Amino acid sequence: MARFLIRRLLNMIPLIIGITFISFLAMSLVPGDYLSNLKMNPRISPEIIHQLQAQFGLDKPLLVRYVKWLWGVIHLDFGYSLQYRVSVTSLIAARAFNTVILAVASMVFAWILAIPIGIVVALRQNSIWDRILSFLAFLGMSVPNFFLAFLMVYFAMWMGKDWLPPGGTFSVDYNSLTLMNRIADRINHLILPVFVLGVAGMAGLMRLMRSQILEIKNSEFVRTARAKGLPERVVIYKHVLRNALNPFITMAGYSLGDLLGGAALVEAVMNLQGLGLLLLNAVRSLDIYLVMGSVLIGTMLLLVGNLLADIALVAVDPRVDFSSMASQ
Amino acid sequence: MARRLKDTCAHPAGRGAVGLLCLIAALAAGCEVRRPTNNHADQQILYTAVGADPQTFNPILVTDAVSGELLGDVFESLIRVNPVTTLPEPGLAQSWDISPDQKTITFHLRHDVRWFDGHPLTARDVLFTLKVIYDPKVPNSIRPGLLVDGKPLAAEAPDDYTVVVHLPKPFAPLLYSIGIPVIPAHILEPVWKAGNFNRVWGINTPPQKIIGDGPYKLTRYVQNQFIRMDRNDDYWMTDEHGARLPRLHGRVVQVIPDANATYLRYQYGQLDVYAPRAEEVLDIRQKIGTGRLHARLRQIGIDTGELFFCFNRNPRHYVKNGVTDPKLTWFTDRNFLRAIAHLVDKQAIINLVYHGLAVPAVSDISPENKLFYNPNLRDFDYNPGLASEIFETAGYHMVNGRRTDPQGHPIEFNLTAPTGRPEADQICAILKQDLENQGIKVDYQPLEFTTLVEKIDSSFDWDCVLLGLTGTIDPNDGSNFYRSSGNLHLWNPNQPRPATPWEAEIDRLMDAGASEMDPQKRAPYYWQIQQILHDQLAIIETVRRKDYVSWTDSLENYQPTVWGLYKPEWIQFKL
Amino acid sequence: MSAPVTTLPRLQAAAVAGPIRGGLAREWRLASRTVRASVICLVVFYLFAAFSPFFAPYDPIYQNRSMPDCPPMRLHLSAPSQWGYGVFWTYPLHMVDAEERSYAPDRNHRIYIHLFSRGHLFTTDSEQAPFYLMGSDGLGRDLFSRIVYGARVSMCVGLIGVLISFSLGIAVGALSGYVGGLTDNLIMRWSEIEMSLPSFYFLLALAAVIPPGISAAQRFLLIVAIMSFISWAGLARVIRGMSSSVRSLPYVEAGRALGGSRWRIITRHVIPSVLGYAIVAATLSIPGFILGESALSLLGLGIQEPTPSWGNLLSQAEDPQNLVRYPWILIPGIFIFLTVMAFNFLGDHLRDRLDPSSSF
Repeated sequence: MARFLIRRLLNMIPLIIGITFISFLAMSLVPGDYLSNLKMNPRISPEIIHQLQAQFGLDKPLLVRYVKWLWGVIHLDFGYSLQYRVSVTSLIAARAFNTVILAVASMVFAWILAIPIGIVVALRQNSIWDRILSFLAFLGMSVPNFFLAFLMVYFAMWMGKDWLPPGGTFSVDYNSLTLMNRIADRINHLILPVFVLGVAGMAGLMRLMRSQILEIKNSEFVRTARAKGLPERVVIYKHVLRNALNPFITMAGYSLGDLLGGAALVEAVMNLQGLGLLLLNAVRSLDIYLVMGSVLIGTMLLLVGNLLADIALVAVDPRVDFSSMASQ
Repeated sequence: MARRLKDTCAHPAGRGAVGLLCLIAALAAGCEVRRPTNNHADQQILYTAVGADPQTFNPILVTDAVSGELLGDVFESLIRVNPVTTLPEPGLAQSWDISPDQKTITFHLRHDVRWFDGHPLTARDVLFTLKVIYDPKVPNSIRPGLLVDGKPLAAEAPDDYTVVVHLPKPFAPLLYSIGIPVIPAHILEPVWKAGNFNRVWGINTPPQKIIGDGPYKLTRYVQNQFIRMDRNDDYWMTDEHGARLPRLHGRVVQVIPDANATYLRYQYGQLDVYAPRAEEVLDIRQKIGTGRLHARLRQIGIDTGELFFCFNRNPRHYVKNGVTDPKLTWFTDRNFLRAIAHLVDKQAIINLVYHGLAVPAVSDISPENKLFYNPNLRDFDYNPGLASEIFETAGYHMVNGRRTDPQGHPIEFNLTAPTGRPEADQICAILKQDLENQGIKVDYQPLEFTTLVEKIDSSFDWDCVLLGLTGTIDPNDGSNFYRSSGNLHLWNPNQPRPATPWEAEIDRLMDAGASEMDPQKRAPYYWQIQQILHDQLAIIETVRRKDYVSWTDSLENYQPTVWGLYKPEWIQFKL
Repeated sequence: MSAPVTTLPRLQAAAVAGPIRGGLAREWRLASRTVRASVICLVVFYLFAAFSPFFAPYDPIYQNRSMPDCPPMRLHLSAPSQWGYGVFWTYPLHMVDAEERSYAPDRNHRIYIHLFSRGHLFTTDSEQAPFYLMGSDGLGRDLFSRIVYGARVSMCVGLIGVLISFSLGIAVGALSGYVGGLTDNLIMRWSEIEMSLPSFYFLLALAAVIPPGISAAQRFLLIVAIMSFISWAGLARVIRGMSSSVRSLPYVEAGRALGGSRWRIITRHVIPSVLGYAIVAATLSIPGFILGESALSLLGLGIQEPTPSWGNLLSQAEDPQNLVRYPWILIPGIFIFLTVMAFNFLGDHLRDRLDPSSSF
């Protein structure tokens, strides 16, 4: 276990350096820097731009800047957003809160609906419900989430202001509300985005659940259990379900990485103040340290998520152990 | 079917799913937000929105519009500009005298101005402010406007309430550019001396620590959410009855990056003021008409900025190893440019892009700039027939469906604009269609703003661009654009000496206009500049939007103009 | 981003050859109704792409500047006495309020719609008196014609993208898995980096570097190339896993013992054995390319005006005012949705047929 962990953690280091360097390179391929935004202002002279470039360290060669940034990161200094003039950490933390709420809510939404429906559908294979719900699952998986977001915005606008807000993370007077009302306000603003982001996940999970159960239901050990004379209910809950849930545990780990920026387009369409939109704008305005900070955190989440998923898999699935994992 | 549904519900897992669904529905339905009813009027607090966070609270270091707008309410300036007359009017200086030779200006400061901490504001603060602005280690956007012939002004203070400024030659724009925010010397001078001026009063500073002298104090700032300002009870201005101004008790400025969200919030009554875009004007009009919105909508004038096409005339890009790209020949050929100008279908742009809420732009200066706008220019009207006639007489003939120049090169060029602006895409698509009907091939490719700027500023690798620059009252603020040496002289920036006689003439007129103190006598110089730009087609104008502002019914004395609010201190909610 | 590697599809060496030998007619009979509908849907869209000028009633970039944001027009069937003009007709719409863009039908005139006329499936006498099946956009261009021409971009982006990324993925994966050792290690580290890249933002940054002044077709190819560059790594890893297990199969070892060259073994044994899986994966990854292109174009970084693609057609909907007033601008989204769904159904079906071992 310990050897496996150390190996994996050591493996991560070159990976993170590689990813951040490539991202840094890609950002530097774009001509200009953040300060180019100021150059069209007739009141800002080229000397001021040069002074600011020097102040932000943008006038150094690529490698020097990258090493400097990396050095800062090692000392937990993620740098300074050029656009917002505050530290990248505080910016990401503020947005990450919104994103995590949204991501967790959509995940919960998807899971608590998908798993029971998947079970019911599988147990009644080829019934009319199975067909209808499987078809709907395909619809849900196929509808592009930005298109669904457009539809929801349209729907909300059409319903008028007494219904759900068509966009935003909270109301403008959020800060003047009481705590309970704040929570209610947030939930109101979450319903449509959660639906938009949850639908695809829910459809996919439902299909996975269904096929898992179908596979296990017909496997040897379930037949054995039945042959032993166990009641059907016990067979289903104790043997089928427990084994069918295995892949879901690993999936939870993998979706950690998708927390960051998995939904930039939806955030843009529905104006959600999340990490995706932050990163999108940062990429477009060449706010390089903000981009790098987000990329780094996204990568770490992904890698840690994968690691946790693998550990969880070993924990629940007796067929897998660390030595087989390490050889992959 | 019903039986099966019952079956599903009977199954434990099915029951679970149905139960959860009900739970979610109940949860969602139960989330009615009980918000305090719109109390902006009772509290006399004005709610507005800005599109981005401020980048600094240091008024000298401001480079972004949002910080400038916010700090304008916190720091008073020496002289203000009246947005209705567009003339300078008293601010911290209650009056000023200009010496007969027009080289010395004496400002008489008010005696009753105090900083938020109670210190009186004196000439020492003004001198300190100038010193900081001229400090080469302080990057600021104020300095260029206060340089006459590249040299700083000499300023002195004979007493605590008099500031005398000496100019090397008469310099009219000074009265506009001296409208600088004055900063407190007693707080910032030690910081500046310690070399920390560039780091002081960043946006992480607690707002109460920002010591200004304006009508409002900053009291709270939550990043990405709002800026709260409260009334400065000791503000010097009084109304006609002697009551202290401002009348509002405070302002809340919401940070809402998305224009659509801002509009939505205005409709919900969460904001009191909104400047709608063309489609929203129609929507507001409709909602006011049907009583769904209790607000007013007013057209406040013609926008001060506009979008224009500009062709690259930079030999540094087109002449390589002694070979001149034919493009340079076309783009400096007045006949070619005239034909293009006649192909800009301004009426279609107005109708299709701005829903009819725009007017053709003729000059680079807005008609709202009553002092300097030249009303005598004749617009190039949309006339494809005339355009092809001009092409033909100038030797640009159609060959196999392609327009070719006299040397036989088929005409084609790249057109670009900043991304993320749907109106720019549409205007370019309209021009492209008309040019292609004339056999001219156009490759349209919008670019990220930063990329575009790099091309215009450094690599010069572009052919034609659709751009907009915001207008200012004093045309001298546009020096960088008009002068051949300017870095915003888009078509050929940073020229060591003027490349053409007409550019030299513009340089001369800019100098002459700047040294004439009487606004009425200044205007003709800038009229002439507009005429030259128009005749030479250095930029080809499109249209100007009509500006609208809508505000809630209960707001009184709200008088917006295209140059800003008129008498903002008098704004109040109906009691 | 990264797929769970724990459920590696098992090998089906002869899987590909089997069903194909049965003939397409048999396949058609075996397919379910949804699969047949999907195939028909895709065929129609690819026909749109291949014969756009025939299916589109008008020039997709012709701007009818007097009819911006015109709603879809209603189709009428004429009474027998007027069959001489044609069976289908519509009332001409004209603008009653230029600011509001509201239209009213002129009931005194009719616009007849001619089928198979002047090289179009259907069209009217002139572009000034148009029949807008799906309305017009903000510049008065026929939305249906734009959708038909947009199919060229949106339908091809998937095919070309898959072609590039899969030839890369299969070649690299097969090589890596078969050769093993240092090459394998390096390739796999590289693919890990690529898979962990935040692909969408990477795509944004790279799209910003595309040089201007290139034609729409070149730009299209570059965008596809960038997307393929980002997406080949996942496949390469799976293929590598499969081919490294092929290496130890008896018949491959036999081939090696008989002195078959490395190249010959890779092309004759390794690649065919993974092809079944690859075809399924390819079908299922086409929607990713289509959605990627749509997203980029929606943000203004992909295919540029005036060339239509289903993504950039949707960008008008980004303004909620447009969305509420002119809801028909969402129609291109329905086409994206249908295509993605059709590929999903087809991929699912192919998996059942070609790769029955993997259940999900």
